[in-house]
Amino acid sequence: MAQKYENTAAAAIETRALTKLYRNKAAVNHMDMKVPEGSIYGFIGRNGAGKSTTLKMLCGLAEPTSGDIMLFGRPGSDPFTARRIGCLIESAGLYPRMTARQNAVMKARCIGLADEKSIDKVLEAAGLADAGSKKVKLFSMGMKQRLGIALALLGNPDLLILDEPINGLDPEGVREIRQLILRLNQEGKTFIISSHILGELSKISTHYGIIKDGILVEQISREALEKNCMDYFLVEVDDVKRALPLISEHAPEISPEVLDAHSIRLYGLKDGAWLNRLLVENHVQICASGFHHMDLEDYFLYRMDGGQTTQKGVNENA
Amino acid sequence: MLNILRMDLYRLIRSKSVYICFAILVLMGFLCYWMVWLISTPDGQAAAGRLGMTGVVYINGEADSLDIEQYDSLEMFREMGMDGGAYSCVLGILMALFVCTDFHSGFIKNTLSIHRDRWKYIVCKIALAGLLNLCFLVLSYGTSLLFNMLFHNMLPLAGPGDILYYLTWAWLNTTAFVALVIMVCVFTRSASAGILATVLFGSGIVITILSYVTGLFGANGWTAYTLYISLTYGSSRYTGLGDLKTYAVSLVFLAVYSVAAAAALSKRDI
Repeated sequence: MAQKYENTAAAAIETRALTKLYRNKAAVNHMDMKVPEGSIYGFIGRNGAGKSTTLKMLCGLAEPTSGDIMLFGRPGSDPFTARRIGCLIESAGLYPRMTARQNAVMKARCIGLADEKSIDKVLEAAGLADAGSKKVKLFSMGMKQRLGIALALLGNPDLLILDEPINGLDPEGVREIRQLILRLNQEGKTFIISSHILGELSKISTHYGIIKDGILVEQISREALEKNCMDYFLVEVDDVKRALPLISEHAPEISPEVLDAHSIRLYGLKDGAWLNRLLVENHVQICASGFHHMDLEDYFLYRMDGGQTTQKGVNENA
Repeated sequence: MLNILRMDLYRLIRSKSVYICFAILVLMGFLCYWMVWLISTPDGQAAAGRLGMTGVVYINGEADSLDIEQYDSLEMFREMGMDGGAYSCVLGILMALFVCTDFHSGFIKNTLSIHRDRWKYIVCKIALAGLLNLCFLVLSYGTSLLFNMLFHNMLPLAGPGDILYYLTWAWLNTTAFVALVIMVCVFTRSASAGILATVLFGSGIVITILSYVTGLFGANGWTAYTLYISLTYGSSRYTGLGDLKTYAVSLVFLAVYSVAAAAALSKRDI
C-alpha cells in the first residue's frame, strides 16, 4: 500500500492488519490505516469495497476477525476512548415517534451528559434549532441526516466518524455541513468521512484513503494528491495501435494510458506540439488533443481501474 | 451501565404502549371482578337477570357454579391473568416491541458505539423489564384491591406475607420469561418473532403440546420445572422449603436466557 504522508504525526486512528471476514470472504483485508489527529480523512471506495465495514469496526459495531484498532494510542475496546468518538454510520439511528430533541436527550443520557444545554447547541449547529419539537417521522431524509450529525456531535467528541453524512442533503445543507465540519476541524477535531460525492470531499479533506475490494490501496495527503493529480495530455487518434509504439519509441519517459481504441492519456508530457508533430509526420490522424487536469474523481477512477501499472506510472511522474 | 437504563426509562415513560398495556391489564381485572360479582353475589345475580343472563352452563351434566368461598384477593388476582399467562403475554409483547425498536430504528448503533460491552446492554434491558414488571405487578394488584372495594369487598383480603411471597416469585418468574423474549428478539431482531414467541410460550401452548407428547411416554415430569407451569401451579403461600422451587426455576431460566441473549448480541454485528 502506498502511504504518502508522514508516519510520525500522532494518530487518532491506527489500524494494524485489520481484517474482517464474512463467510471466509474478506470484506476488509489486512488494513493498515492511519488517520492523523486534527485531519479530515476522506475515505473513498466503490460500493461494497469495505468502507462501512471498516467504519463499523472503528465504532465498535462490528467485531474484527483479526488485527488491532488503536484510537488515540489506546485500544479501541477501551471504554474511555469510545466516549471520545461520535459516529454516524449508514442511516441516522433515530426513534421515529420521538421528537428531534427527545432523540438528542436519549443520546445525551446514553453518554451520561448531565448538562442538557449542549443538546440545544448541537441542534443549532446542525440547523435544527427550530425543528426540535417536531417528530422525526415527519422529517425529510436530509433533516434526519442533520439530526444524525447532531447526535454524533453530542458529548463534544474528539473524533467524528461519518459514513455518507451528506446523503439526502440539499445544496444549502451540504454547504452548511461542510462549513460545520471545517469549523469543528479548526477547533481540533478529527474527522473520517466516507462519501461518494468526491467533489465535495475534495473541498474539505486533508488526507485520503482509497479502498478497493477490502484492501487499502493508498493513503495520501492532500498535497501529495495534488502532485499526483497532474496534468495529462489527452490525444484522440484514428488508430491507437499505431500511435502507441511511436510514442513509446520516441518518448519512453512518458507514461501512456490507453482509454479506448482511439484515446490515449499521456502523463509527464511537457510539449504537446512536439507530440502532435510526431504523430502527423508518421501519418497518424489526430482528431483532438490537449492538456487536462485530474481532479479527485479522475484520480479515484484512475486508481480503481488502472491497477498497479497505472499507479506506478503516476507515482513515477509525481 | 446506569446511563443506558436512564435512557431506556426516558423512552419507556414516553411510550404510549406502556399505558395501553397497563390499561389492558386493568380492564382484564375489572371484567374478572365484574363477572364474579354477577355470578356469585345476590346483587350481581339480580343484575345479571336484568341483563338477560338467565342461561345455565352445564359441565359434565352438572350446572356450573363458582364457589366464591375458596377465593381471596390473591387467588382472584392470579385468576385475573397471571395463571393463564395473559399477564406474561402482555408484558412480553410490550418488551418485544421495545427492544426491537432499537434494531429497527438503528438507535442501537448510538448506544453500542458508546457502551461497547454488549453484556451491559442486555443487563440493562432485563433490569428495565424487571422494573416495569414490578410496577405492573404492584399496580395491578393495587387496582384489583380497588375493584374488590368497588364490588363491596366480596372477597377477603389475603395476608401481607402471602402477598409478598407470591408477588416476589411471580415477579422473578415473569422477568425470566421476558428475558426469553429479549433473547428471541436479539437472535432474530424481529418484533414479529418476539411477539410470536411471547404468545406461544407465554400462553403455554408450547408446554401443553410438549407435555402431551412426552406424556405419551410417561416422561412429562420435566414440565414442572418450566416457567409456565411454575407460574400457573406455584403455591400462593409459603408452606415449606419445597415452595422455593419456583424461585430456583425462575433464577435458572433468567440466568440462561440472559447469557444466551448477551452471547447472541456479542457474536453478531450491528
